[in-house]
Parts: sequence; structure tokens; C-alpha cells
Amino acid sequence: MENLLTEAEAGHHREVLSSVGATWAADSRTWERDERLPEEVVAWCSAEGLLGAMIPREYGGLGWSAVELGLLYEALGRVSASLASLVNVHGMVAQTLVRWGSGRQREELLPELAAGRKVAAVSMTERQAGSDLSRIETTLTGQGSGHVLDGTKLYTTFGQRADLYLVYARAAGGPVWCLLDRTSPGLTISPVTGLLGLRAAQVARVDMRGCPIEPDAVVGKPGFAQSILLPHTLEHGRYAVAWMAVGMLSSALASCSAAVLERRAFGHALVEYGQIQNIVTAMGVDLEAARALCVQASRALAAGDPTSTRRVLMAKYFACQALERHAAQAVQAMGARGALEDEGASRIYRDAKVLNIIEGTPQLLERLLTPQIAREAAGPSWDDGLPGTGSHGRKG
Amino acid sequence: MRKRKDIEMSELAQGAVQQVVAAFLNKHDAGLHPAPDDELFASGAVNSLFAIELVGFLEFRYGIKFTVDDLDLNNFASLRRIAETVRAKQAASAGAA
Repeated sequence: MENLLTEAEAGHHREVLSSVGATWAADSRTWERDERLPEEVVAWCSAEGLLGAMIPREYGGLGWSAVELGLLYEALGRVSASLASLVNVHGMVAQTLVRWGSGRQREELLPELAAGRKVAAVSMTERQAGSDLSRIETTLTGQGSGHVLDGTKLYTTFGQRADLYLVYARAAGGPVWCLLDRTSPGLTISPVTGLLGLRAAQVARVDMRGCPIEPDAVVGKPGFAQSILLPHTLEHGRYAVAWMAVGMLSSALASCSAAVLERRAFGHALVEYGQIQNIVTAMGVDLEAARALCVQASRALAAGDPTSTRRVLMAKYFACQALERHAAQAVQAMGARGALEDEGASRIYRDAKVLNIIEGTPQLLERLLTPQIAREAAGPSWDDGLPGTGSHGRKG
Repeated sequence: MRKRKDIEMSELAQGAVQQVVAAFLNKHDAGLHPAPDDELFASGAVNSLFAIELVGFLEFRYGIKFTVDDLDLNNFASLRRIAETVRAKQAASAGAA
């Protein structure tokens, strides 16, 4: 990937890789078994400033560029998708406040989030509302200073650990993002255990019964949460998950490669067999493609390019599906060894499926991307019912 | 009081912004040809993924940054209102510079 990065960016990547890897690569195996990220890991992330990587320096964050942040998620993903998810969900809340928070919200909360004194999580999904968030039933009701939140959110990543929740709720003027403190009366946090993957991500169910909400706890303005704020929140998550998937795929390729180079069968090393070459080559090439899409998304984000939204969607779409496909093949090529928890590939295989559910399923991303891809590809003549007669369809 | 020439310049500039935004909308959806005062969001002509790209486009094209205080549906209701909002943001940032 270094060919896609500047020298400084490549240096930054080596630094975060060695810092995260040297500190946690060995321990990460036990986190999944214990279904919890030890508090010392959260403290380390805070001390290293990683919980403020996406927050501008003026609020005490590291103010990292899009590509620097992406490379952090890649490095975290190589070690543990659960660890990467801690920084991701916290980053989604931080990003929303950086972009759309009021002056007071930014000044009061961003320094807390940047220093890791408060860990934040996002509460969106409900029993009847996942990809289609217009179906949420959680409500913010009341008048003046007498507002209350009522509802139940399932699957809040790091909900067991968070100090602050960004809750998506229905309000009189349309859906809103609302900040909810863990100490709020009427709030119950229950662990969700036994998950397929991201087992150390301390997922929680969040029950709100008349949780009192101050007027300045609403982020943005009613009527804009769905069209403007939510896409920004999710954009951070999708960008993070795309890069995380690249890191995980890189780990899967490393484990798989070591195994097929070492293991012999029927007189040859496994790597000499066409069937194995097919697996390893497809994995290596898709990894390069996923990296290129992620770097392209980074460049668009850094430039403020309006196509960044779709570039992030494309990177997430490709990287997560490539990861799922190849993680399964990595386990296959490694045989029984691939099924062992300590060999790395089995955990990636489980986590890969979850990555294709969180922050937008491939099915939802297709729904978002298809109209844009099709209309642009068909060209301006599409309107006249003549698809394919755009620039590429001319004769000559 | 503003001079007549300034007012004309301002109207010209607003017309130019409207044209640029109309071209952007049309690129997104070839069936979209809104008149300056047609409702964009209320009519459902502009969906949610597109709203965020429109905000990104305006910020990129005109070197402005919207904040929470700009989140008012009236600011984005029609081509004319978008052009007025962009011009006001540009004037504010020029004044602040």
C-alpha cells in the first residue's frame, strides 16, 4: 500500500502499526473469549490520544487527516475488530459534534471525548428499525426543559462501557440526534452476549423510560437528522469499517500465507497447488483493490470533494465483502489450523460477517449507490429513455 | 445604501449560483429541472443521500462551511433560497477574513 501513500503517511502507518501491534496483538485473543475489552485497553487508547484522533487540536484532539485516521483504523483492525470498533463508535459521536454540534456542545464535550474522560457510543438500531431508520419508535417528547426520551435500542456497540450515548429519536419536528448521559434516571443498560463476532465489543441493549433531556442535548436541528446529520455520523463509521476490513484482510492473508508456504501435501508445499494459488492470488489482489478504494475515499474526504460520500460507500461495500469472501477461504486453505482461535483466521472469519451488517449492509449500500452509478453511467440521455447513449455509447 | 450597480452584480451572481446548482441537481437526476422557486426537499425531489452531497458540493464549490446555525429548511428550500444562502455565507466569510 505504501505506493499509494506519501512518505509521511507511510511513516505514520508504520508507527501506529508498531504501537498498536506491539502493545495488544498477543492480548487481543483473550478479549474475545472474555467478551470484554479490559479497562487498561481503553485507558491506553485515551493516553495515546487515539480517542481524539478524529477531533481537531483546538479541542484537545490529535486532529489527524482522513488518511491518517484511516490508517489508524487499518492498524487497529489488524489486531482486533472489537478494539477498532471502540474507536469507531466514539469517533462517530465525536465527528457528529465536530461537524454539527452547537458551540457549547463542542466546547464542553469534545475535550472530554478527546481525552477519553468520556467514552461515547451510538444508539440507532431498534427491533423494527435497522437499515430503514425512518421506522424508529424511540421518542423525544415534551416541551421546553421538560423533554424525555422513551424507547429501546438494541445492539449499541460498547454500550456496556459508554459514558455518553448519541440516541436517534423521533421528535415533533422530525427525527433528532440526542445526547444521553449514562447517569440519566430511567436508563437501563443490559449486556448483549453470545454474538457471532465482535465479541469483545461490549454490545448493549439500551432501555430508556422517561429519561429527562435538556433542550441543549439535541444535536443539530429537528428535520435535519435524517438528511444531513445521520449521513455524516454514518460516513465516519463506514469509512472506519472499510479501513478496518482492509487491516483484517491483511491479517488473514498473512496467516493464510504462512500456513500454505509451510505445509506440504502429496509431495509439494501447498502454495505450489493451483487451487491454493487461486485462493491466495484472489485474496492478495482484492486486498490491493480494497486499499486503493480506501485511499481514494481518504483523498476525497481530505479535499472536501462532494463525491467523498459515495467513495466511502464504495470502499465499505467492496472491502467488507472481499473480507468476508477471503476470510472464509483463508480458513479453508489453513485446514484445521484455520479453525483454531489462536491462529487468527477464525476470528476474522466471524468478525467479517458482522462487518457486513454494521454501518450499512451491502443490500442497503446497493440501494444508495445504484441510482447514482446507473444515472451517471447512462449519461444525460437517460432522461429521454435512451440509456447507454451517453458519452460511451457514441459511434465513431 | 447599496449602489444600483452592486445590486445588479449581486443578482447576476445569484443567477449564476442557481445555474450551477441546477446543473448539479440535473446531473444527479436527469429528470430534475426545477424552477427557481420550486420546492426541492418538501416535494421529495431531493432524497437524503443526495442532500448530503448537495451540502458537500456547495461547500466545495463556494469555499464555505455550513454550521448548525445554517440548518434551516428555508435556506435550502428552492434554487433561489440556496443561491441566497450561499451568497450570504460568502459575504459573511469575506467580512470575517
